[in-house]
Amino acid sequence: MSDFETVAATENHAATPGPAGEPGAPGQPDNTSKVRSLAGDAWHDLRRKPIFIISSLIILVMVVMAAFPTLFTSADPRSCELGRSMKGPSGDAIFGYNLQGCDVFARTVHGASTSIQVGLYSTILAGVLAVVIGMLAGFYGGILDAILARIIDIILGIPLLLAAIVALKGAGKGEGYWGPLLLIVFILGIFGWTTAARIVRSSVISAKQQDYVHAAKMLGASNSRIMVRHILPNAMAPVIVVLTIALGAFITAEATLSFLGVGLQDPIISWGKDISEAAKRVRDNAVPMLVPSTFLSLTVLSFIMLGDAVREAFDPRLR
Amino acid sequence: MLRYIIRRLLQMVLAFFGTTLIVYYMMFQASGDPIQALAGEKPVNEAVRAKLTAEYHLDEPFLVRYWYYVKGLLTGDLGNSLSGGRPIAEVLAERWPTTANLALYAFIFVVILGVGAGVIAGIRRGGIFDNTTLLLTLVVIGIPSFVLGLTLQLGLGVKAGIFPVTYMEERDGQFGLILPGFILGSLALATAVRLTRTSVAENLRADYVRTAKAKGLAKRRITIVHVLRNSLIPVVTFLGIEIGNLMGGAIITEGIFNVQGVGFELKKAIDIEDGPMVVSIVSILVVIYLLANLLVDILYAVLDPRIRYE
Repeated sequence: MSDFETVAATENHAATPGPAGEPGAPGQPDNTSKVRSLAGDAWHDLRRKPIFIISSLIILVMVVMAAFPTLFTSADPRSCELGRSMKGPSGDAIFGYNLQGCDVFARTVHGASTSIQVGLYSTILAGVLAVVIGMLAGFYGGILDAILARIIDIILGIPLLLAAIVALKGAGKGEGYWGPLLLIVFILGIFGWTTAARIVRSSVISAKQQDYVHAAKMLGASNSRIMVRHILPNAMAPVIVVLTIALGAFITAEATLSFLGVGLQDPIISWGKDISEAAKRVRDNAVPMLVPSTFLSLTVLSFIMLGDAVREAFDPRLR
Repeated sequence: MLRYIIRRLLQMVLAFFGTTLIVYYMMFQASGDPIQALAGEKPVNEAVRAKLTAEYHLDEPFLVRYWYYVKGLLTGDLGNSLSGGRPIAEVLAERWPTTANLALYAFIFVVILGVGAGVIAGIRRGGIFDNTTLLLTLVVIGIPSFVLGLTLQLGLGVKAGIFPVTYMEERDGQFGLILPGFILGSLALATAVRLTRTSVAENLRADYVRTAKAKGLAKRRITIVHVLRNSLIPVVTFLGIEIGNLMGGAIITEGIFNVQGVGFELKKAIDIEDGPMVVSIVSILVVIYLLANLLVDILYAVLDPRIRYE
């Protein structure tokens, strides 16, 4: 966790050229004439990192696929004919058909929307919870902090996957398309905000002691104004990194739960569920399992690599 | 030190009640009519219903039932499974050794490969080995473990035939657990590499290493005696916490490879909707996880005196 504190601490000295702006490095503008902020410095570094570029591109493709699946395939993922069950690749379906005779590629393309949506919504929910609770705990301290810290301890005591299994068993299935989807989002968000909240808390504590916060207080700014206008912008960088990685973890969690049979059900197309079904017949035809597996892995991997690259760019100590 | 342990124990007690309350509450929400579930399709006569209601405290309020559940959990009386009606504790006692055995393999992989590669990468930071391992670990962290499991099962089991595709104890013996163990440990392995690497690289730049160098100590001695000892403190704590996680992760690996351990039993209970079984297994896994965390924190305080004075 000290990594993130360092990020937060360096963020606050953004105006001074940190150790990051190594003079004499090729292709960098002269540091003495133009002072670059840490964020600018990080962006400068990121732009030339292949991992950052590749992962951003993959995420972009996946997001477009989620929003406009018909750009990638014209086949209907839900029109299945048992007559073409397990048929190999052909001109109509580049990856062939699965056991039920559905177009493997069409299902995979349409599955992107489920994964991206679950990941995005759970991350937003977890992010809001983490920022609000971490901010309150870090800013006010004292008893409130102690109580919130114990609550975080308790939730961290239950591994995410196990908590979600029991919660999904308990909550039933949900109705229609949005019911099950939002249920899983809610459960992942409720159990997944704790790590990010701890990070917000520690960066709020270090931001709270800065001179500009004291100055704002002296000028008569209210607590809420100090929190929102002064501390929040300076405490956001580390938590965004953690949330990017969490997004990948939430997508994994949804796929894993659907794989185990407690997650999403038909008619929602989930990569996890398709993989689980295809795995039973992997000896006959491995393609229906490998295609969604590849898409799932690429998506999660991209979010994790993106988060990792951004964290590295923001943490001069790691260079 | 004693004060630290006492404070940590109190936190643990609180966390125990908090987590079990959440788990029990979630199951409480789930249970429709457990007596009907027990009887299946048959109608239940009133006398039997009254007897069972009293026996399982079904007419009591939530907190009272929670209390009976915690008491059962602490005394090892977990009730009976819905399918077959065997005592859950008995089923679990039968399954534990297999899961522990599997987790041991995972742990060996994590310690030898993970810490070993991490130390080498940390010493040769920025080199080819370092960059390759960093990228590899990212890939392993990025691929969901069930995808990794299925793919390796397909590649090394079905296609290449090196490892058994599904595990049968009498046929495969210990050899059959190597691949499932590796997959179970893969995430922890990757994390261990990255953690060890950062820790070693950081300590190599510390003042005490420069002092040791200035004294003229041999490089090997500095690395092994000074750097490793200090670098491995965070790694040890990570490994401790991972023991708890490995038990939970077993549900995927055991399901894929048909290893008949606790995770397999949990997967089966989910499939046949055996609520009491699911909750019992999850509760026990949560307790193990909490205990592992407690032990690790105390161990951490022993290894690193600074932590006691926070």
